[in-house]
Amino acid sequence: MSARSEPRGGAIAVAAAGVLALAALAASLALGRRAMTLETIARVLWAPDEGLDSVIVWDVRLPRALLALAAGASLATAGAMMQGVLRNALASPDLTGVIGGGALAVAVALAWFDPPPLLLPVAGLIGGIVAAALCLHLAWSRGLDPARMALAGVTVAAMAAAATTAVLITAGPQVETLYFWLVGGLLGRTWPHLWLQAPWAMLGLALAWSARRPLDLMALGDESATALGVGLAAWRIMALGAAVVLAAGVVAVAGPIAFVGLAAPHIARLFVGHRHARLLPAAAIIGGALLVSADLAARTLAVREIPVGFVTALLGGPLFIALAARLGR
Amino acid sequence: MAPDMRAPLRRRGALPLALLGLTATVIIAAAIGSSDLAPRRALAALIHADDPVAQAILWTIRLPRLAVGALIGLHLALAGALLQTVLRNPLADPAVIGISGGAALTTVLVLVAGDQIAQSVTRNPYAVAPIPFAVLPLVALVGALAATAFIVWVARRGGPQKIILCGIALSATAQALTVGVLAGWGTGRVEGIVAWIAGSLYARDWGHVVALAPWTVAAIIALAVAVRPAALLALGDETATTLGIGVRRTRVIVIALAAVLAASAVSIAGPVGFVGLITPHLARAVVGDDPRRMIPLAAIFGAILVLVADCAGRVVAQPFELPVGVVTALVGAPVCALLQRRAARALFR
Repeated sequence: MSARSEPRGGAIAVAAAGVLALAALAASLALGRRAMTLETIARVLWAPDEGLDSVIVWDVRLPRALLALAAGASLATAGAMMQGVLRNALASPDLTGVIGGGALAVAVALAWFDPPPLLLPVAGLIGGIVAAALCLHLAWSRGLDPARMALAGVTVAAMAAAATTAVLITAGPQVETLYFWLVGGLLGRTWPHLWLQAPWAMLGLALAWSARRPLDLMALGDESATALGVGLAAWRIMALGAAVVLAAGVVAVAGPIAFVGLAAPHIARLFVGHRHARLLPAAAIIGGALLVSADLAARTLAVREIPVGFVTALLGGPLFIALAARLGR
Repeated sequence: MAPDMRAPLRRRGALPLALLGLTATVIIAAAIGSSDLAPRRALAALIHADDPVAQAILWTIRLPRLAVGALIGLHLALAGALLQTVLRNPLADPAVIGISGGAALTTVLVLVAGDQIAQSVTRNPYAVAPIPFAVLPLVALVGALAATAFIVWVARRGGPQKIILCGIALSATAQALTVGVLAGWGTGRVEGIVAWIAGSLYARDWGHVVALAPWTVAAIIALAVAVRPAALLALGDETATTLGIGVRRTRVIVIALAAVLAASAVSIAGPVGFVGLITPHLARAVVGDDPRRMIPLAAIFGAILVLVADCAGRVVAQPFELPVGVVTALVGAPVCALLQRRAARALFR
């Protein structure tokens, strides 16, 4: 992935994605079991009152949509960084086992230790780091082949999923909460969840932004980057760490959400090219818009809520298969 | 083929020894459970009819479950061994290349759609469609063959690595869709299907054995014909062509056979993972690379592995029961990780 010629109109594309994200946000405030007009929404947003509309917007839909935005942006940024650092188009929080490992650690914490919610992202972080380290150790031999990494990631994720099921089965009274969280999604998430995730998102996004130039250089290949005087190892670890931080915050509040971290950076790259100063914001905005729309679809398509993972799989799955078909030798 | 007397004893003795091991596993597994039956009492109940409790436990609960477990293991191991042979890829497995995922997705789709229809007909929101489970292998087969055809088509230009990569992508997608369909639209039997998705032998009875056995017999007959061309295919496409084998046709037929084996197993016990991946490696370690020796031994190993895993799942977490798929993943995934470090090195060089 070298810094090839930039597609023109990158700024316009990012702006369009931003407009899309805002539109999805507005739609997810308006639509649902009780549909509202944009006028109503604007009114209650401006002046909250005791009415039903105001309660629905402020306590249910707004925090949920904002969390979807933040989670989507986090996952997409994590994916973009992993793809850049590992120079591997399939790198993403799900395919390196980070999400699975994080989910296992959070499940163990919930089932056995009953920790304060503030510590859940820490558990996710530990699990994610262990899983990523394991996956990279398994897959690395003089570089990172996409197929090997995907296979190692799937293996680590399968192990984590089996262990999570075992935890779930033996969990006792916690099993309901645990299962609800494990399905992944934003059902019933509200302000406390957003406050829990936001600091991790901020930290991760800031770290990602600070690494944008080294990430560009890393994309040129190890020799060029070293020749240009970039201390590769430190930046690499920092960038991967930031990606795990971003994913861990999401897993702790919303459970495992797949495909967004893989798909959003690729969509962004189509429009803005490979420079991380543009790619990172574009991926974040597209990821946010994607997850907000997916969540909207998940809660309005069927009679019951369907897991958001179903919708992201419908969107991201074909892209994943197409990538695999193009990359595999 | 006449047994080669010059082969080391290890090779000739492996299959009888493995069968002996399977018998021992069956006896031990029949004796272990939430109410222990001493092996002698279990054996006595098999022969005489004067111990009604032991007989009931044995004949209505444990033996059918053991039979289903052994057949599942046999199917999955055969499927994995066949795929690894004709794709010449040590990491091929029905779960990895998406066959199991496709089978699981269509099974859940049909069950859930059937329930939805039943509910709208009877006006009972918890109605369950009366779908006999003997049909499920056919339903799963449709999904498995569709997934197989899709993978073969997507990866038509490319080597063995491409099939694995596309399979992983398909498998992940199918899995997410399965869970989504179940959580979004499943009603009356969600609990049962959730256990099934993990891969479970809980409460399998003689009906399941009867549903599965014809497939086993048919597949073994087909295998007897297909194993020689498959073995030649393992030598390489050019060599196989020289020896008069239609490479493409043979490969497609053998992959379809693997799909049949995997689909029938998945429809009865859910997508039990890693059995098809690791047993061929165990068999190769004992008898070497020749598929004609490796494949039957892998099948026996598969039966033993599933029985042992199920037994462990019934015992280790009492009073709970770990589904057999969880145990095989907990054991199989680390082994698979080791194999990736070792066996895949040649493949991904």
